[in-house]
Amino acid sequence: MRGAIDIPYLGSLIAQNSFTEPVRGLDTIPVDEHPPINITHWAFQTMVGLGTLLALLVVVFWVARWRQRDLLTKRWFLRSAAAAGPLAVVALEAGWVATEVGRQPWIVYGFMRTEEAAASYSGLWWLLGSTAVVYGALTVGAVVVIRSMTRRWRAGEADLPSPYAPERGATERVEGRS
Amino acid sequence: MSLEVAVAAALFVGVVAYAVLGGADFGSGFFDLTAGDSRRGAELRTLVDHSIGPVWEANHVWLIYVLVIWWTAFPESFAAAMTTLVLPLLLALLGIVLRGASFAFRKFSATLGQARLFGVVFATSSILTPFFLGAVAGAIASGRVPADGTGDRWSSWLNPTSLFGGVVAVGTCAFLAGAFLVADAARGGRDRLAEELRSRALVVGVVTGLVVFAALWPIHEDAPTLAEGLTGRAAPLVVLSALAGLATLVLLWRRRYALARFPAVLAVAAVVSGWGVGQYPWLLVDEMRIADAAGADATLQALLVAVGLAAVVVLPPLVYLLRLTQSEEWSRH
Repeated sequence: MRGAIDIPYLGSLIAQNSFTEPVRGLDTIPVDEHPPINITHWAFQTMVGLGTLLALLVVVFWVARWRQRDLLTKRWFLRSAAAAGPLAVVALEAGWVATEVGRQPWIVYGFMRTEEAAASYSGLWWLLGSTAVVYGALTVGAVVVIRSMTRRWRAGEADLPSPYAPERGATERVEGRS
Repeated sequence: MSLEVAVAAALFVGVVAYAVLGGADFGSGFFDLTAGDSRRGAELRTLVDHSIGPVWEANHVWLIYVLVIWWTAFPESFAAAMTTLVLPLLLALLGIVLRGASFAFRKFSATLGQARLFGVVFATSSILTPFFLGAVAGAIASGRVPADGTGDRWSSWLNPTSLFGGVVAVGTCAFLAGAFLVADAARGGRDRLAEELRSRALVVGVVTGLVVFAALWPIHEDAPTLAEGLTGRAAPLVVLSALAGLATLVLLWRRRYALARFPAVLAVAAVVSGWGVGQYPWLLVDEMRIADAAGADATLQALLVAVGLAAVVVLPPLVYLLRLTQSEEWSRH
């Protein structure tokens, strides 16, 4: 391995709750108990990389502010702040992928394999498909509603009343100003 | 009281709390759905929005509480119920997901068309979810969940007791929501709306009461163990629910809305407790007793400690939130 930085003891402390116990490498685990290695590896790297980047962005902002420079007037900073939202979600999902893929083939580590835990229903693919459809539709709904909120806020509306009746005029209001 | 019965009781307290607090929440969907077209129903829908907005989804803590205690304390009965009743449980889950999301989307819709679409999804899933949960309760109570989880995927929850269970769940939700919405409307000074809601809450109350007591007959035929419990050990609760239900109707009739909320809660809590006490000592009726289903003692003890901690940490803010939603200041704007 090139460019590795050795930090003594810390790995043992995190993985084994001890200063001296060795951290078991993948070579000590039987091949049929290996998780999909590349997915786990890249998910973990993505999580750590993005997490560090996001933390760095915060540090940069506060250091600049401490030195009397307001980054909120800088276009590059606002763009980074806007990107930080989705990137935080990606980091979070990558973290889940790292833990959940990383402990395969176990669902309860050392006790029960995932295939032993899975239900014997015939319709599991249907269930997965319907879940994807439902959450896909909810995502579309969320995007539509949030985008329309942004539009209305930009148009100067502070309060967004519920559009339950024609006389409340939600439709005309949006069309009139957009 | 033995350790496992104490844990089962803690679990059932969660069921009752979900039936009452979550029920009032779900039931508002019934009034939303039947509020009429967008012009006529606007005021009521705004009230529904206002009433359940602050507690939006908060009541599902009870469902989570129930599920976690159930699978931790009585894992095999949980696996059996989840396997046999996978269809109604998935449908209830679908309803919960759709309901929570579409309620939030509707509030901020840009157009009336969007608000209508999300409103219909919100209101129908508010009715379907308690129906499926009630059907699950009916399946367990009528002894249709075998201990090994091999019950029929369809007939386990498509049978007289389950169907009545579903209808009773929808009815009690609407009954509670009616009592709370009338009080909200009156407290907020919307007198015309309060009048309209009053008559509808009275109809819902009478119909629900009739369904609950009509259900005793099919239960007698279809779920003898539960029927025996309902007419025996749980009989006082059945009587209590009838009296509290009547008291609610009388108070609504006499426009004592603030007061009517209390017997309404009592009536529903009594109906649900009646089911629990009625099927004691069974966890899965005729299949698995509470004592047989319980896990290790150490687990049960740890659970009781966790329940105690939750009571200290979670209950005070929840009570405070509920008090706020029922206060004059929050109802005015």
